[in-house]
Amino acid sequence: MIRRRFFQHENARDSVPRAVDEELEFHLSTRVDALVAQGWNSEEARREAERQFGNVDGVRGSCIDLDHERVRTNNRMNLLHELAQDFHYAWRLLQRNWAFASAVIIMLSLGIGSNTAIFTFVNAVLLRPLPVANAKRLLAIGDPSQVSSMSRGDPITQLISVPMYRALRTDSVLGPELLASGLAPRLSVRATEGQVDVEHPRARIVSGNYFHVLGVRAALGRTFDAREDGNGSISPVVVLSDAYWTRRFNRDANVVGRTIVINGTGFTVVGVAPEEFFGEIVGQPQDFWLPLATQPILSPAQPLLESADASWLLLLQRVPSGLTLSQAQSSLTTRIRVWIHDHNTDTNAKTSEVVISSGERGFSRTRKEMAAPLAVLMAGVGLLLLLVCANVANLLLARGVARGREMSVRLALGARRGRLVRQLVTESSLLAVGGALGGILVAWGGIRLIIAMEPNAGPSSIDFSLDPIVLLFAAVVAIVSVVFFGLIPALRASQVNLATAMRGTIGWERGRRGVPGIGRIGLNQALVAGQVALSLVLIVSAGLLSRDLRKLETAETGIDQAHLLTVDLDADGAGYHDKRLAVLAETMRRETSSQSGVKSVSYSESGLFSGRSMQVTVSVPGFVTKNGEDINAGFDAVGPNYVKTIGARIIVGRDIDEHDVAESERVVLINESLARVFFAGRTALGATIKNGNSELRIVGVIADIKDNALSAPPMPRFYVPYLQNASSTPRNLIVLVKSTELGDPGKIGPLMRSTVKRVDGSIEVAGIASVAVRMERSLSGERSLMRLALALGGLALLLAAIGLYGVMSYAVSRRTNEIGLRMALGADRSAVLRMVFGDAMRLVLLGVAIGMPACLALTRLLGSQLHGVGAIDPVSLIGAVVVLCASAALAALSPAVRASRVAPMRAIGM
Amino acid sequence: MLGSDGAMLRGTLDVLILKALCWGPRHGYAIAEWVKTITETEILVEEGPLYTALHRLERDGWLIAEWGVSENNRKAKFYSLSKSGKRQLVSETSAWARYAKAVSKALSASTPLGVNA
Repeated sequence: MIRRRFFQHENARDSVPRAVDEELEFHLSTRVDALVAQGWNSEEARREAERQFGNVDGVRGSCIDLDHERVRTNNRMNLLHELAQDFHYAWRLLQRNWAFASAVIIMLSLGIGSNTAIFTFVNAVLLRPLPVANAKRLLAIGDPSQVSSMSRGDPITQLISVPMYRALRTDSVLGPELLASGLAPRLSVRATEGQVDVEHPRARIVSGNYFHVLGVRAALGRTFDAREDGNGSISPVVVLSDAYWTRRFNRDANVVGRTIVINGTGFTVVGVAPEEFFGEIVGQPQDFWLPLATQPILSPAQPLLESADASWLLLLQRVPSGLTLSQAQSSLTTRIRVWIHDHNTDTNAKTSEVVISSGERGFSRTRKEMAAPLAVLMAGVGLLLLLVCANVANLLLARGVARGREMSVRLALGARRGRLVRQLVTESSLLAVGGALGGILVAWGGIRLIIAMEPNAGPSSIDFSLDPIVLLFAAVVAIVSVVFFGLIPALRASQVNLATAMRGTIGWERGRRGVPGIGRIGLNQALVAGQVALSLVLIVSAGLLSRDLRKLETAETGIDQAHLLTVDLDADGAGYHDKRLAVLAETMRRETSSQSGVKSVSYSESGLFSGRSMQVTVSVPGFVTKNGEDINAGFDAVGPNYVKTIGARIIVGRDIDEHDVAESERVVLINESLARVFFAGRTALGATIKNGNSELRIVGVIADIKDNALSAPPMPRFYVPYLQNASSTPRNLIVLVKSTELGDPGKIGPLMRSTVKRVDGSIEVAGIASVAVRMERSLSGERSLMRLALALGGLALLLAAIGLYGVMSYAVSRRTNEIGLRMALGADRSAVLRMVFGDAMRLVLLGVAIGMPACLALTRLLGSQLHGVGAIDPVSLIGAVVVLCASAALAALSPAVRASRVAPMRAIGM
Repeated sequence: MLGSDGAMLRGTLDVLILKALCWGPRHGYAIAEWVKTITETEILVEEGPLYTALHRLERDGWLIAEWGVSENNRKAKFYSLSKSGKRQLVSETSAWARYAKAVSKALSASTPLGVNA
């Protein structure tokens, strides 16, 4: 103790020289005394003393230096010692209060874990660059979200045709480092001999320089080179992905040189891509890559290499050094505009914007789809973390008050305030470290749970590993939480008033003017009100999302999906193209119609809710485009009785029928939206629309239907007869079967399988599903968002209730005396109950009042995710308030009852 | 033990200081007086270096310093041995004994070469 004091005494910089001076002065004056006693006169004695001492100033200087050194080392040692002490003390304290500690750590784990989990998704989908060399220097040409689309008709700027790609590649400024990638047609593959089942892997058709431009080297064999750009002879070769090589070939090193049969043609395996390379499309890892030149081999019915009217490629340009990205971008934009201008049959497309963006993160449909929901979720988990921090702060505050005596005793014994604050922050840091570790566990488990729960919703193929960026994020979140929840109570606790604390009460929690009830709103009450506000926001969001989902599920689709079945046939794989495919379609329709239990049969290329959609540009005489984008329309090729089979409504005109064949007049059905956009006010029936080079006469207008997404707004759409499809030869066949209400829907599936087998045994049934099920599935993204929001809302509610419970029971226990006195003075139990409840409700209402404006502001963010309900939905709002109040009442129940059971005499009678 | 210029071999003063403190705390003046008396003023030519040594030993943790009141009622800095200082004294003492023995044996040798055993 003395030693410690001594060191503290020396802390100040100027105390060291003073101490040395005092010490040396003592020596010299003692010597002088001794000499004087021997008979020296005092002046000479002083000189003699200094002579005996030697170089006084030199010794003084080196002593001061030595002392400074010692003080520095000592301070450092003391700090380390104190830190170790703090940790030891904090650890023992938490061990003794393990219930408190584990409650805090569990809450922190949930808060940090949920943030880390959602951030992992954000990182994987939105932030991580492509696993290729120097991805920063890549420019993406085309709409990055249109990875599986194709457009027929006039050139557009979202996708590129092969001739346009060839023209762009000859640019003298940008050089030839421009790759192209397009969706491969449906592939039927036998990878190994003797493989019975044909499989349908995912592949991209890419230009010969694809791997070269990306800077990806083969892990085995070679990648594509100039040979594959196919000048003259076409070599059917394929590069496998690591995953496919593993799955199909068991990582056999001898795979190079083997032949796999793709759509009836043998392709030689020339190499395997490295393990981390999944392609240029985030969320859609490929099984293999095929050269662009082999496209006509893969789909002989639809060769695209020379057709300027088929836009289906996305491009990545590696910008040469010496050129900035924006220079390259403007150069490409000009080239594309010029090319479109030269190759356009119509003037419409010119105005639409050329889409060029950074290629660093590749292409992705998922990115566009998930960006908004992830932003919503990120905001949600952020709010949850705030709630957790508020709750933990509250717990620490309550404990800080309970420890007020301890603090004041230590202060009185001379402990520095800074030291006490450090002690409390050490405790918080220990909790935060526990919370961060728990959070990483929660995140790890949570991600797996989410993926397992909704295998269709999330792109499970995205790499969700907890990479350093994610861990760093978790650490930062933990540190922020410590600052937020640890420091406030620490400062608060170190400010306890010595005098009042010693008397056993704490100054700040007592009503200043003796106001009954809670009195002055304390920090912990304010925190509870804040929690109520935060959870209100989360509950309202969950309510909005679930009500929106409910609306979507029950939304008017325009079709009668009951007893409606889609049967997806792999006719292409069985060699049915062109006329033969049309004959097959008609055969299937006739064969199925005659079956018992079947009410109506039709077929189409895209089916319903199949995920397939086709788009073309349309022109109508007398219609002028406003922005170059309103010339797009969806379309489908459909069989006879299509409208009747799917149960859509004909507004005017007729359905497609058996007489709409190749030899008869080209006709078309349009939907209401198309009529409204292109024929605003004019009569559509009997008029013609132009698609490419063919003129189609409108024979019917039908009501808008939802055909692929329940959440998408209706868009202009037209239907051409499957048997006279002019714009592109149908390649796909999906049979639509409407069964009678009386028949057993379970029987239709096997019935269809046997029918297909009877017509042609080599045709595979790729899938049979009821439209209702497909609709349900199409909402899986919305459903998982809603579930996550519900989970967040539930957690928020629980946390707010716990917070309220804590504050109320604490208040009751502190006010036992007062309550006892009131009861002794005649207040009855119900009055006490009312009082405690009233206090709780006042806090809740205060929170609601704070939360309302926050709700209105934050749910705006949800706007993009809402389709059926408005962002200001009174039902969700009132519902949330009711739920909150009910939980608050429940949380306050036990403290209130405890208060009403206070025995008056015990409470006041010591 | 004096060098040609009267300076001491380094370490000698250190061990003397440690020895001076083995009976209890002393201030610098008392240590100087003790060293002078015990070595018959042979060793300590100047008192200044004693203080440098005291502060160095304090920095190294062998000595502990406390302020107290001297016999003549003045404020003085008292030094005492720390635990490690006590250990140091024991080991230095035995090292000195061995050293002195070896040196005196060498100086009293009568043959120019070492004797083979």
